[in-house]
Amino acid sequence: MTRIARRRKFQIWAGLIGLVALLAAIAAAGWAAPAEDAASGLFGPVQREVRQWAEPISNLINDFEEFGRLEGENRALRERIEQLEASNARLREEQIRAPARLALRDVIESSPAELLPANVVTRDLTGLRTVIGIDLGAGDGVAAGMPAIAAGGTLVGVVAEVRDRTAFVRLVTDPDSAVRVLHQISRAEVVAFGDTLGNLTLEIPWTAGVEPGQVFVTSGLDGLIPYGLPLGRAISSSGSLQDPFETVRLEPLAPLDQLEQVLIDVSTAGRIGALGERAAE
Amino acid sequence: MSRAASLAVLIAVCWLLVIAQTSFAPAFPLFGVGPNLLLAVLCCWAIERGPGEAAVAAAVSGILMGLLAFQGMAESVAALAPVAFAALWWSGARPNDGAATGWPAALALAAVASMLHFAALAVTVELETTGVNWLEAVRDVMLPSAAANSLIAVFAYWPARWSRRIRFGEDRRDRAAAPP
Repeated sequence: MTRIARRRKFQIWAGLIGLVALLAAIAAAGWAAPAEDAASGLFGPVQREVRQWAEPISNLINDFEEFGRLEGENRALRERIEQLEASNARLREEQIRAPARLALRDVIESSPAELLPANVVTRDLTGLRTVIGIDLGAGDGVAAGMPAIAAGGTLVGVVAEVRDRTAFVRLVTDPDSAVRVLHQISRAEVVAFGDTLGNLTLEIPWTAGVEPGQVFVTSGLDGLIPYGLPLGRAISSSGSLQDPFETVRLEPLAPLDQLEQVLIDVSTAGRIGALGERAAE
Repeated sequence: MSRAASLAVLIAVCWLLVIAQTSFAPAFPLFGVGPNLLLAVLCCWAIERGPGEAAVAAAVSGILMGLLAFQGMAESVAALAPVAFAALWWSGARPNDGAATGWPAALALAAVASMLHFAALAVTVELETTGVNWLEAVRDVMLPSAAANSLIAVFAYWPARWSRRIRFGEDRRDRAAAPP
């Protein structure tokens, strides 16, 4: 190997390793945020346009034999099912809670949620996480911790990272996601976790008697996600009867892999601010 | 073409690839996973155009990915860096027989780089979250990704091969270093 080749090899190794270290230091110092904001603002519309342009082709390829008709039909039906299931779950929840609500009717004042529609501009690219990028950011009033809701009214995730004009939503199936939920029938309150394979699971006492098809809704006990948002239905369970808990796998009610728009509940801003202040104290 | 012009072209190509990767590539799943168009093209580029350009392309693409996607810039550059290191090794080992070895090498590099890319990101996810189910992640994500990216490299290799006719960034120093 010549001296020039050796020097070049060293330059490439040192250059890339040095660059990674430099970028890590920049990110740790918080200096990357302005560049990320600028890039998201500048290229976000391009990403959205390209995505919208490519979507019909994607549908055509995915359902080549039916030329996209089945895809559209399927999506509409899934949305309809999600809406019906959400509506059904809400009605059942109302039925369960009605006596308590009647008693508290005069003292509870519920303010209607303020929902902002956001377009999905990008998705996680690693295959290990389920994160989506949306075209709303801090400038629109979005803050980390706000719930993201599908068109049918079911919880799809929580805003994880906010830039000036864009934000990233961690879906409920992400390995970093943990949502406090309520089994509608037994009223058992547990935590539903995501994992790297996009599953949504929870551990619940056998005594709860979870059956396939039964719905879990958010419990609202974490103080951020509103109470009563339908999350998913039980599809399978596993575990030995000797264990105190069974592991239940949920299927999210919203079609998480086909989300094009989500609603961000910005009315939780006050609660997020209060929790932040309490944490700071 | 001057070095400045070639750098501009390289950045433009990387930008187009990153936009494609972040916007529509996940909508075209192969073997159940979103293919990594950027990684596959970088592998072909690295095999055919050498380690210098591969290193620049990995750095630029990694930074752009970090700016536009959820993962950070350092993480993205680190995940693409093995492509440049592999190109470095290949530039010293390659026999002079054109596409006969270049093509299989590009496919193999796409598969290996996909696995390394997966490993780099999985380690980050392992550190940042509740953990990775490695066995299932390897079966359901890593191996299908390697197959999907190699499949893309089957087609992406030929434009990269053709681009060898354009000597981007060649200057007196390169010509002096080249064998007669």
